[in-house]
Amino acid sequence: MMREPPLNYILSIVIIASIWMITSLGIFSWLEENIDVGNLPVEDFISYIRILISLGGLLSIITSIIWLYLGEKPIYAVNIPKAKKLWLAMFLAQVAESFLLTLILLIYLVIKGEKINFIDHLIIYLSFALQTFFAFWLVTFFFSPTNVKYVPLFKK
Amino acid sequence: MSINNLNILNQKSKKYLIFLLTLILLSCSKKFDKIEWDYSTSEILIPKISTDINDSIEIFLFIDATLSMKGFVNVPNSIYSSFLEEFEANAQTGWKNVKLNFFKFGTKIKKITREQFRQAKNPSFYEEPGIYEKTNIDSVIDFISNNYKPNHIYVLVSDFFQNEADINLLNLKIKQNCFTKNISIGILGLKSEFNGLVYDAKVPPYYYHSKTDDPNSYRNVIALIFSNESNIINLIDKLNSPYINKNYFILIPSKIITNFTTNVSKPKEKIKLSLRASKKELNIYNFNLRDKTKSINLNIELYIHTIPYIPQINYNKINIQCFYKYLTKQKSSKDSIPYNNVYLKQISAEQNIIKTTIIIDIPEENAIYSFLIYFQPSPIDGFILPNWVYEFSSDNPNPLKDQNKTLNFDKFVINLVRSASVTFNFKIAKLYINIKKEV
Amino acid sequence: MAMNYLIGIGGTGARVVEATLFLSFAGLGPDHLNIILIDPDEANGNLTRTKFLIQDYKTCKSNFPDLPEDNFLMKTKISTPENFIFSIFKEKTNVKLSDYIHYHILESKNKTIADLTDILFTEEELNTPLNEGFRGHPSIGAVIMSEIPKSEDPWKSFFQQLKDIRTPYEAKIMLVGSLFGGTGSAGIPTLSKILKESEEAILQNENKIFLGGTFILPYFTFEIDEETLNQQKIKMFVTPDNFYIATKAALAYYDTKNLPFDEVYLIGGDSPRITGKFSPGSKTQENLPDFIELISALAVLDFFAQQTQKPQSQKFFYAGYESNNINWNAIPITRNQKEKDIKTQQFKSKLITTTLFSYIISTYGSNTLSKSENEIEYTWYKDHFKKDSLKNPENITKITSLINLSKKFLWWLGSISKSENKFLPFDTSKFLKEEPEVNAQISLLNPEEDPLRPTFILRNAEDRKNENLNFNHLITIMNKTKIKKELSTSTKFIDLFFKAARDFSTKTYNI
Repeated sequence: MMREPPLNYILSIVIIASIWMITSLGIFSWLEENIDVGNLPVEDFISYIRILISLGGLLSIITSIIWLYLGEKPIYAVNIPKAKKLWLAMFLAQVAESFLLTLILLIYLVIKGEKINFIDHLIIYLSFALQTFFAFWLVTFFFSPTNVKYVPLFKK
Repeated sequence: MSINNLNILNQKSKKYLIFLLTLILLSCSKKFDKIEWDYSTSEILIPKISTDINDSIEIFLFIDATLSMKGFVNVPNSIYSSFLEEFEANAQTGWKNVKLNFFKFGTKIKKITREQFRQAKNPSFYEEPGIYEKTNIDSVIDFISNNYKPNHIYVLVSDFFQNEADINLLNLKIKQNCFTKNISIGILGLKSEFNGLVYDAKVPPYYYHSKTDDPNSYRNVIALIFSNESNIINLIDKLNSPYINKNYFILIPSKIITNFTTNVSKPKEKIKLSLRASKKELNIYNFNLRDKTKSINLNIELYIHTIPYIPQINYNKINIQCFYKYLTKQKSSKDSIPYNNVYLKQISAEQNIIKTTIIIDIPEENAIYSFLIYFQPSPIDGFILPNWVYEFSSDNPNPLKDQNKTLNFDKFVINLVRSASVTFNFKIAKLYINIKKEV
Repeated sequence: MAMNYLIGIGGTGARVVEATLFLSFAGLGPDHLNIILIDPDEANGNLTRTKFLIQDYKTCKSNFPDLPEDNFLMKTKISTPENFIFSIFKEKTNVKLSDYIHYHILESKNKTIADLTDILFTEEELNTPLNEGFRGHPSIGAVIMSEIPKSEDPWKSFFQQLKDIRTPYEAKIMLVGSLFGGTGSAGIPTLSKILKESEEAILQNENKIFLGGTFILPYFTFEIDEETLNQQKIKMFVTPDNFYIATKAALAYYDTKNLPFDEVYLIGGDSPRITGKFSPGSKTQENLPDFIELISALAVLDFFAQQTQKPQSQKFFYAGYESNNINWNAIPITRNQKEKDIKTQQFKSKLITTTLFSYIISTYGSNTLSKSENEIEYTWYKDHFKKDSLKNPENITKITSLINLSKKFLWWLGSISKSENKFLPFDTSKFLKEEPEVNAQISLLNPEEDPLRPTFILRNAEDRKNENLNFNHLITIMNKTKIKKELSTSTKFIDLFFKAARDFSTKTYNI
C-alpha cells in the first residue's frame, strides 16, 4: 500500500520535507548560533546554505518521484539489473549533487572572501548529504514500487 | 485511493504535523534581543537644504565706516567698491523676495538708506563723526544676536584688525550670542586695491598704496556672514563676481556632515566573534561573542560627506565618545551609560574615507551589550584651516612687512572654529555595536 | 458423499479420461472422481499415456494438499483402485477368443455350442490374439467382457464402494468409449448391464447406480499402408471405412437392447481428422488428442454436475459441430440453456487461466528454479522465498512434478488446438515453438527472451481486453500478489504463479 501511487509519492515528499526541517531549521539554526563566517553576517550565510539545501531537497524530491514513476513500469519487473543500474545512477547523481552544493558553497565563500572552519564544513556537508542522497535512499528504501522494491542499496 | 488508504494517510499526516511543529519550535533560534536607541542622525547631519529657496530673505549689510576703510575707496572702482556695488544685485538673485537693510558701523551702528549706502564708494562715507573713530564689531554682534531670525542674513564688511584681547572677547561674544543660537558664520576674504592709511595696527597708522597690477599687493577685506548654513551657502553661491574667489571662503556651520556611512568588520583573528545580520543603513552592527576575551577589535570604515566650505577635518585628531546599554536575563539598563573603555587605534584617511580600528573592552558578565560610538574631530585641533587664512594674516602688519595683511586674522578664525567645535559638539559619524556575549 | 466413477473403455475412452483429467486440472471437474480404464491392449499408447497422466495428477495432488480454496487447480480428487486398468485378460500375450471360450473343449464336449460358435465367429476372429484390442469386432468384446472379476481390482474396490451406498442413484457411473472400434462398442452395452444389474447395485426396488454413457462417433481417420500390413501379416483390423458401418450397427443394436443408461451423450462430427498412420494396437496405437475428446469430457463433467435423483426418463444429449471454427459459444458446456453463458464464461476463464499458468510455470518458473539464489532478484521471490528454502530437493521435486503436468496440459491443449482440429480459440504459436506431435516433448517459447511480446494466447480480438499487456505486466502482477504465509513453500510457489496467471488473465482477456 505504501509502495503504490499516489501514497508513495506523498510519503516521499513528506519524508524529504521532514529531513529538510531537520537540516534547514534544526541543524542550520544551531549552526547559526555557533558558526563564525568572518565578516559575512551569519544570517546571510545561513540563508544562503538554506537556499542550497532547499535546492538539494527539491532535486531529491524530483529524483525520487522519477524513480517511483519509472519503477512502476512493468519493464523493470523482469529486468532487475536494468533497474539497479538506473537506481545506482540516480543515487550517484545525488551524491554528486551533495558535492556540487558544497563546491558552490566554497565558491561563495571564496567570492565573499571568507572562510569557515573544517568542522562547520563537515556539518554542512553532512546536512547536504542527508538532504540529497540519504533522503533519496531512504524514500526509495521504503516506498519503491513493488517491482523494484529490493533494488535500493541494503534492501534485502 | 481507497477510503482506508485516506484514513491511514490522515492519521499519519497528523503524527507528522505534530512532529514537525515540535521540531520547528525546538529549532527556532532565539531572536537577537534588541536594545533600543534613538537611531536618528539629526545630531550629526545638517538638515537637508530645502530645495525651495525661502520666499523672502532679509539681508542686513553692515559696512565698516571707520577711517581704515577709506583707503579702499581712494582707488576708483576698486574691488571693494565693486563688491559693495554688486552685492545688492547678486543678493537679489538668491531668493524670490530680498529685502536689503544697510548699516554703517564704527563707533556705533547707524542705519542708512540705500542712497546713503551707494555713497560707500566715496571717501566721505568713512568720515562721519561718531562713527569713523572706532571699529566696534561687538555692537554688530549684539545687534545680530538680538534680531536674528532664520530668514535673516547679516553681512559685516570690515578690514577686521583686532588685537589679541579684542579677538578673545569677540570670539566669546560670537560663541555666546551666535553659536549658542545655532547661528553659523561664513568668512569671505577679499583682496582689494588700497591707497590710504592703515589704522589699528600695532604700530602707528601707516600709509599703504597697493600696486594696481599686483593683486598680491592688494589689501584684505573680510566679510563675515551670519545666518544658517543654507542661507550663507546660497548667498556665497550667488556672489559670482570675478574678483570673488570662493576658495577664500570658509564656513563655520552648526553641523558639518551632510551624510555618512559606516562599515564595520572584524579582523582575522582567532576569537569566537561572529558577525550577525546588521542594519548598515542605521549603522547598527550585531555580533555574537562566545569567547572569554576581555576586549575585541573591530575595523571601522567611515565614509564622510561634509558640508562645503568648512575647514578640512584633521583625521589624525579624531576622538570617540561612547555610551552603552546592557541587557541580561535579570536586569537591564534603562538609560545609556557613558563608557570610556573604547579606544581608537591606527587611524588613516584618504579623501573622505576614514579607516580605523577600535578596541572595545567587554564586561565579564554574559549579556547583550549595545555600544553607541560617536566619532568627532578634536575640539582643539580637529580642523585644518585653509592656507589663505594664514596668508591673509599677520601678527604684526607694519610698513616694512605684511603691510596689506590682517592683524591676528588666523587667531580669530582658529578660535572661532574651536568655539564652534565646543559649542556645536561636532560629530562626523556614529555607529551602534551590539554584542551578545554567551560564554 | 456421492460415488462418482468414470470408466473409460478402449483407446477413445482413455483419451476422454485424459481430457477429463486435464479439465479437472483446470478446476472444472467434480470434487471427487474415481477412474477405471478398460482395455485389453494394456500397452496401448493412448492407455499408457492416460495411465501415466492419472499417476502424475495424483502425485501432484498429494504434493500440494494445502492449495488454498481460491486456487482451483486440481480441485478434483482423483481416486483409483490400486490396479485401475481392467485389461480383461489375465494372460498378457496371445490370448485368443478360442482360448477364452475354451473352444477346443467345446469341440469335444459340446459340439452344438462349438458349431454355434463357428457360425457366429470366423476362424480369424477365433484365433487372432486379442491383447491389442478387439480389432473393431465388438462381438468379440461382448463375449470377453460378459464376466468381470469382482474379487480383483479394479472391480473389487468398485463394488465395495457400491455396497456402502445407501441412497438410490447416488452412485454416478459414466461409461465412455467410441462406437466405431472394438473395445468401446463392446464394453459399453455389456458393462452397462453388468453394473446396473449387479446385486450390489440393487437397493430395495431401486437402483443405486445413476448410469451415464458418452458414446463417441467416428471423429478421426488414418491412412492404411497395405504393404506394411502384408509384411506384418496383420489380417484382422479396423479401417476408417468400417467406422460408420460399425457405428451404425452399434447404435442399431443398442436401440434394440434397451440399455439401462439413464443419460446418454452422443458426440460426433462430420469431417474426421487424419490422425496419422494405421496401427493395429499396442504402443504404436497412440493418437494426438482431439477436441472431440474435450467435448466428450465436458459431457462427462456435465453428467457429474447434476444432482443425484431418481431419473424420470432416459435422457439423450447430442453435440456436433457445423463450422470449421469452434469458438467458445459453440462449445456444449451444459444441458441447461439458462446456465450456458455463465458456464461458458467459467469454462473460458479457467481454461485460459490454467493455460497461462502452465505456460509461465513451465518456462519462467522452471528457469527461476534452475538459477542460484543469488541470481534471483525478482521481488516476488525475495518477498516469499528468501527465508524459505525453495531450492531444497523435496520442494524442487514437488514443483517439478507440477511443471511436468503443466507441460502435458499444454501439449494436450496444443494438440486439440491444431487447425485441422477446428478448436481455435487459442493461438498456440504464442507459447509453443512447434505444434505437438505424438510421443514428442513440447517446446515452449521463453517469455523472458521477449518480454514485450504481447501475451495473446487467444486468437480472436474480441477475446482480448487489453492489447498492451505483456509478460512484464504479468510479473508486475506477480510481484504484487499476496499469498498466505502458512502455506508450504512449494505450495506458495504454485499458488503465486496461479494467482498471477489468474489476475493477469482477468486484465488481459474478456473473461
